[in-house]
Amino acid sequence: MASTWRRLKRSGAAERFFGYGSLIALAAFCYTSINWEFLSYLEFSIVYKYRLPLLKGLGMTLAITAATVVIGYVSGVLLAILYQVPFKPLRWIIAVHVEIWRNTPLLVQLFWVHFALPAVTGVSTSVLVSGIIAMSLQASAYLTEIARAGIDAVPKGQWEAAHSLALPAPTVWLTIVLPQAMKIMIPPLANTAISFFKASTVLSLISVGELMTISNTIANFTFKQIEVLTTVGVVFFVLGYAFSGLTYKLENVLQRSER
Amino acid sequence: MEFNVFVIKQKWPLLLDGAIMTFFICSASLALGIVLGAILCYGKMRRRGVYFRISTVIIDVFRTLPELVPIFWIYSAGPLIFDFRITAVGAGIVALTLYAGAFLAEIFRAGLQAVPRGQYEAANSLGIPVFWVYGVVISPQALRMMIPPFINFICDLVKVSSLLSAIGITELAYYASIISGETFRYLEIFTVAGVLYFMIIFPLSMFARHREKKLAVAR
Repeated sequence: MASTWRRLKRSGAAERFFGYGSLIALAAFCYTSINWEFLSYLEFSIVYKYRLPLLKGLGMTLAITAATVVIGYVSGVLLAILYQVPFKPLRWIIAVHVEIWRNTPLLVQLFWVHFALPAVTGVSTSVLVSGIIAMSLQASAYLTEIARAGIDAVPKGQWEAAHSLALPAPTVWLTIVLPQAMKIMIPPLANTAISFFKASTVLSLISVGELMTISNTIANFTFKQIEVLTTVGVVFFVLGYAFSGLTYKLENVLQRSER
Repeated sequence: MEFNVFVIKQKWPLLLDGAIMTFFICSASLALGIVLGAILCYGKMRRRGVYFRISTVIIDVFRTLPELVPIFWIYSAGPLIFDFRITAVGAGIVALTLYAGAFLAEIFRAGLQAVPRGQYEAANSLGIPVFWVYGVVISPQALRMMIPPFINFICDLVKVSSLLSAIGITELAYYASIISGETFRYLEIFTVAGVLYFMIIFPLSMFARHREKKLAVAR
């Protein structure tokens, strides 16, 4: 029995069985339950017809992502620096902020900022502003963690050397610790940027006017869901894939420069 | 500004229903996603051939696409393509399964590759059959490595499942927006919904962090 099994395994018969089996199952599924008539209704010219609004939506998505990452980065680094202050209540507040915004879904945060926050502050914000606020708050929570890890990764000797030279605190932070910490932060920062590029689609649920909102509107208006949504998916995939490839390259370059 | 507790008391059962639906959707797509992820991981570990290419494409596509794109695609393009009717819950579970499968495949692969090569070589040199090498030698070590990213992924899955409210699946976020829409009590309802999500996700992520620390100490 055991030797038969081994012979089967070496000949790759089990794999071939699984492969052909799934191929046959797929073929049977395609034959019985796919309505092939939809192919004759496909009309990809609809995407070309609505190219301008789609491009505008793409620009909006990129702008929202950039704004989110910049605001989140600045506030994240500031919060990480404040976290180093040896004052317990401040630390607790920052930790609570990070945990709250990291451990709830962006959708709930978005609705909370857009619909509930005006009841607290009395100032009502437009959909775009509340979208950017919600995303930046979440980004600041994620980037605080990243910045804290970056600051922790600066070798202790750097701090001790700075203190033994009696440098003032701003000089220590600005010229010694932060430049090194920021270099460590670059790869996770790029990954966060990619994930917020993906997360910006969530803003379509309050109709901000970025790519997903516009494509949904066009798809429901023209009844060409397959064409529009596929195109949008391809755009998101190409941009996201290119950007993550670049991040991977950047990581390699940075690692090589360490040595 | 006033915080009306009465609304929460009145609508509490509905929100709880939504939380149960969230739990159901997440566990169904997690269970299916583990199976899909194991298959994709097997293909990815081959390093060449047809299996490798197919699973690489699937993994890359569903890791890179924003989660809303497959959700909307399956929900709105599914009925145009298939003969049978696909329900909203079915579409949501399929979309989340693909998402979970792609991410879990990479988590499994990272866990298996984190086991030192010497372990494979030692097991092979002892003449242990391949099945037992994976079953007894490798998987206990790999599983221990996989726990933190796996739990973190469950947190992400719960967060992503809130997006299913966009296609009308009656889970927590859906009930929250419906109830607050009809009572105009956005502050109370969404605060409660956020707290419920926090109560689901926070313990999991704390547990993952605890395990991560333990692993770092063990190494």
